[in-house]
Amino acid sequence: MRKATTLVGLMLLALGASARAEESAPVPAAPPPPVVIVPVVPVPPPPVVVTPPPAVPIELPLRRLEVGVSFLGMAAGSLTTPSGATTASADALFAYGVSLSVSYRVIAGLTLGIAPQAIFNVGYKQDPGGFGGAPPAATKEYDLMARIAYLVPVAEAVTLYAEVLPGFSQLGQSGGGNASGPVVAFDVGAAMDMTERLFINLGFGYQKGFQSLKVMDTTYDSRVNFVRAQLGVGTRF
Amino acid sequence: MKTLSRRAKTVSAVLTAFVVLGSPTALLASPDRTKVAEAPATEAEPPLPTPPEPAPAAAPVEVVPVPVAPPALPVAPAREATAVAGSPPAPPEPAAVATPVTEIGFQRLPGSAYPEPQTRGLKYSSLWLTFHGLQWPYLPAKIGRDRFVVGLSGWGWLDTSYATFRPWGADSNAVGADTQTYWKQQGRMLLRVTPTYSFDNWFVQGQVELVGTEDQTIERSSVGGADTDDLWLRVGQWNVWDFMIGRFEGWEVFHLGLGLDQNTFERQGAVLSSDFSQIQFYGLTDNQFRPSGAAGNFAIHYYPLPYLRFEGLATVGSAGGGPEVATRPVAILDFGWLKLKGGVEWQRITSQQTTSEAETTSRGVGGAVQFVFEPHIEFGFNAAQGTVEAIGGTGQKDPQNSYTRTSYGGFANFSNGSAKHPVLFGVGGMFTRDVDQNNKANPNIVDNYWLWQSFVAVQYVMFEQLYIKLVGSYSRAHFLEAGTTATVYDDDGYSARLRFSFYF
Repeated sequence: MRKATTLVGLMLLALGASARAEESAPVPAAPPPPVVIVPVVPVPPPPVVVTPPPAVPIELPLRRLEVGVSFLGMAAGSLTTPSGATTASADALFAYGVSLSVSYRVIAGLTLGIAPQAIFNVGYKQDPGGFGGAPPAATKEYDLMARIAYLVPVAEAVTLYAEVLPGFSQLGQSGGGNASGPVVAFDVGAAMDMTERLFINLGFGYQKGFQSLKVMDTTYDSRVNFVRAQLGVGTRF
Repeated sequence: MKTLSRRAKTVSAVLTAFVVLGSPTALLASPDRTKVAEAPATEAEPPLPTPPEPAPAAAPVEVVPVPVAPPALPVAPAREATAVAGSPPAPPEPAAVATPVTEIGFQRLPGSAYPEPQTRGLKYSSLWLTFHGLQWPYLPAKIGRDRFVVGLSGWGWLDTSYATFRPWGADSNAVGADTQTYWKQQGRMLLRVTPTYSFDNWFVQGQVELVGTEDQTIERSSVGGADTDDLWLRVGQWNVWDFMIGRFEGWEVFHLGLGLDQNTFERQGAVLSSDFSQIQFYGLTDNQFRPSGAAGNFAIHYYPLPYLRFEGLATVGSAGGGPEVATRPVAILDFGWLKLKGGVEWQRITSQQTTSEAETTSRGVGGAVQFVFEPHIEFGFNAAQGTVEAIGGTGQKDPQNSYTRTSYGGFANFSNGSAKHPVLFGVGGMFTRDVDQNNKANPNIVDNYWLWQSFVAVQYVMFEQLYIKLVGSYSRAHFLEAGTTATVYDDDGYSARLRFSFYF
């Protein structure tokens, strides 16, 4: 084993010495190779040429009056209605609606306005009594809400907003009549300017109702809560 | 033990001697050794490309002699290294300058490798990340030169998502099984290697996508080993035609927008494995995606006009439990702002057992229209219909697995058009209905299912390459099971997903 190791060592030494002898010699004019491979292609620019774009000021839109219309998706709802002498609660169907808003930015990002909305397909997924029968027919909800929003510009043509929408609601009953009472919604979202006047907005939030229904002299809860998604378009004046 | 110790000492001594001898060897061998002594330390190892290999090392590379100018960034020739006082006169200029050469090398795919003769879509949008049938990576030869390049690119994504399913209806077993909630993180990252040899307008190109996965619950990853997405070879002429073979996707017809990505809850919809039907949208998709088994594709692409493209795709193999043959011709008319896409497909899967008469034949037709109004809006609509006819092992018709599927929907993306802070909103939806021929129990009742999938999304792009996307989705599935009376149940599915993607 020792002999073999020594032999290997000598071979390495010999190779090293040889390499040194060859490589330390003056560089000769090598005969021109028949073909020379050009070195590695220089690293090209990345797929997207990164050029610093001109600085664009990030600020709130100059125009202060906004009028918008939004599609509302009302998801993961919970509905409570009178059932006999008590109330029953169960999951609500996916409801949808439309909202109109008129707002004015009064100071900095603070915006005040009104936002009436109509919601359709407000109903149970199945019989809330648990009897396996058909659920009551879906109804409609109409809400008249104030809009208190705060806008924060975060990027070129993009504004984040948070809004609170307190209001008064009227919730139809499948058997006729209406429950009514306060309602409040909270949203956060973003608005994106398409032009100087036109913008779109996308938001998510939660809406909670406190409606009630008076039957004879007894008041029953008849309310609905939703997770809400809002996709809208609007214009500024 | 002593032997090992002695051996280690011997090896150590030999290595030490070798290193001691090797160091001056390397120094002496350095063509820049004179400069090294004079230059500051930071310049001792200039970040230059690898020196050219001697001719024998280039043997494996097929070299076609073509006269070219000297390279732009040559390594300092040896004579420069010795150009100091007292050094011998410079040797003759090596013949490399005048000899024919071919470029080789690795390169990250440049921007020009992603062709865009017409706009592909709003920058950073889902449509922009689609190539609408164009040949890519596009790596043509430079004028007067042949070119061999190994292009490197790839992408990766990581999703963290939440989903909840809220079923209701008459099928208590299904309702009970479908009441589920998930938190999930999964990801996928791939390195795309694209060796390309180009000369004149011709090219030979291969591509492999080496994949790393995190969960995703798909069959190929379940084996636990290395995975690939693309694995193909292609030959042809740039922007004229090509022939392609291997594992790759057919051209996209349905475009879904910023949501409904592969392997996500919103793509799955409110359909769980316990459901009576695994209904999914149909968008000319029987033969669009990469085959999952021992099957592969052949395709001929033809580009008669800059805005007109054709793909004739065929699939052969054993992917669906038996021998499969399929074809899927697709045409794309792309004016940039307006894109029309359409195609048909046919697929037949027979039994591996030659004595069995079982076979499934699928047919379909579909199309899409897309509009791009830069820099702010793009949107599109999709529609497709297909049939599946199933025959059992003894030649009898299988009505439950013979059905018609119909899907239609659309998407819209909105961008702020900012170069520095690009933000996109996306919305989309898809409705699908499957109706089979299972009327055995009641001639008037067949299985009837429908699925609604919708989403909203917000995307922000950092540093022009890191995509951050938040997607919220709602889906509803409706199941009507045939019997002497119909049994009906529904399922709502909600999900939210945050995706980080890196394209490189």
